[in-house]
Amino acid sequence: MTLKVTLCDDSRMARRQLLKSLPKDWDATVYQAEHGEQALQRIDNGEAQLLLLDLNMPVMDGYQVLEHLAQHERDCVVIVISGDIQPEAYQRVMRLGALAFVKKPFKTAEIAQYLQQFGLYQPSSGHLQEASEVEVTANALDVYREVANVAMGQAGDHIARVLNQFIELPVPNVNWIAPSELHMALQSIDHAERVSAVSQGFAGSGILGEALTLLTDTSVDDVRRLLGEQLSGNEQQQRIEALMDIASIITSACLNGLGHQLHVEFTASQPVLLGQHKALADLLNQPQQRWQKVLAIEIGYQLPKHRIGFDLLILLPEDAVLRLDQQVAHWYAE
Amino acid sequence: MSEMDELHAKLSLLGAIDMGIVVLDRDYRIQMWNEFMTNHSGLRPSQVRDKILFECCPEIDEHWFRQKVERVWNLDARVFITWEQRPYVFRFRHSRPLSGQQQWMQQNITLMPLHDTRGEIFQVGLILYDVSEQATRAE
Repeated sequence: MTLKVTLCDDSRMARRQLLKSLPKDWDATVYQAEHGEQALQRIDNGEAQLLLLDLNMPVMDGYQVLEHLAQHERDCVVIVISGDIQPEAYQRVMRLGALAFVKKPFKTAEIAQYLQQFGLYQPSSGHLQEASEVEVTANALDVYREVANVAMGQAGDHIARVLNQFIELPVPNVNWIAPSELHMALQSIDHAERVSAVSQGFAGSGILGEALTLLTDTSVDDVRRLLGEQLSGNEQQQRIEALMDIASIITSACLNGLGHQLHVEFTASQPVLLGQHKALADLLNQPQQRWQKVLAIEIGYQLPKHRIGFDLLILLPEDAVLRLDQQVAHWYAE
Repeated sequence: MSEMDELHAKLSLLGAIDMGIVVLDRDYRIQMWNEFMTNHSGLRPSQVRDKILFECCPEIDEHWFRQKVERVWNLDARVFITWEQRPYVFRFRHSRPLSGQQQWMQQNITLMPLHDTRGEIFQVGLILYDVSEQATRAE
């Protein structure tokens, strides 16, 4: 009997990649959902006997879907596919009843292996069909969104290991902005708070950009407490060290993740303290407007048990994106 | 030019560069110590080769520094130390001992993983930048 499968991911790019890696000789019909709420709708419609589920999504995330399924009896099994590689994410998902956890980026053969392992797929059992309403066109921004999504998970894992805390991963925002709107790109920072920021330039294959890490002053103090004896010097030096540590860890891991997927080896330069205890608008106010627009990848991390939140902003000027676009064109072109 | 000549030329360049370069193995034994390090510390490469860093440079805060280096091993990523958090790691005289504003050379340090041909981290590289001028301007 034809199996009904729903792919749930907010990234079109990710759904497209996943669709491509499903076995063609699988007796299954594939539906899509952009977030958890749509996935639950698919389940109610009987269109998701198998749900391939992303975790970090807007509207309703993957954890909420799993919680809902744990509470309500449904004819639906779930395989989670996520870039959140923290051990605690894996444990939470398995506790909530998922069959398996596939880490992004996954290898094409991996999906078929899992499907076979759980008896969901036998080779040459039929052919894969897409439900007719499916429309999957991806553009370069979709690629960057998904690439950022995976890189963000790796960076979150690094921070989690250093702070020994679970990090809540957001949905990365990827948009073109004018440099004067930089402060508006920061969604997870309270604009009324005083902030400190560190900047790191990075370069690879002629693609140059800048990574900004921003923490509110209260977050800096909380990170300082979490790092505790790992820090040295007086209070002010400890604040700077905490800030520099967070900045360089997430920047390095994120650039590694991005570079690995985009086949560019990015190297970050020494971090520079942009400012401390300033209003966001003052901190990001640039006297020289060299660029008309920049591509901004904004990732806002949260530590749910603490008041800590920090924002990583990866900024690529227009000419860098032109080069990157060439690099990724084959991802979405047929 | 033979391969040896080429290697020699590259090594002279590494020696002449105005930055400190140190390579440490898994046990913090010094595997490379360039001319900059020799000139500022007075320790020749033959004196430090295969010696533990903290024995050669007792001024380094070992407990703290190990945590930074272990992070490179654990995360396979670069770790940065800036003069603002700690003015110096190696106690070197200011490069202009008379007109320099500070007594000691202010340093930025980059710790980076060095990989073997299989892509596995097998050593940690340390690059030391003299940022005394920058620090003076900022103060």
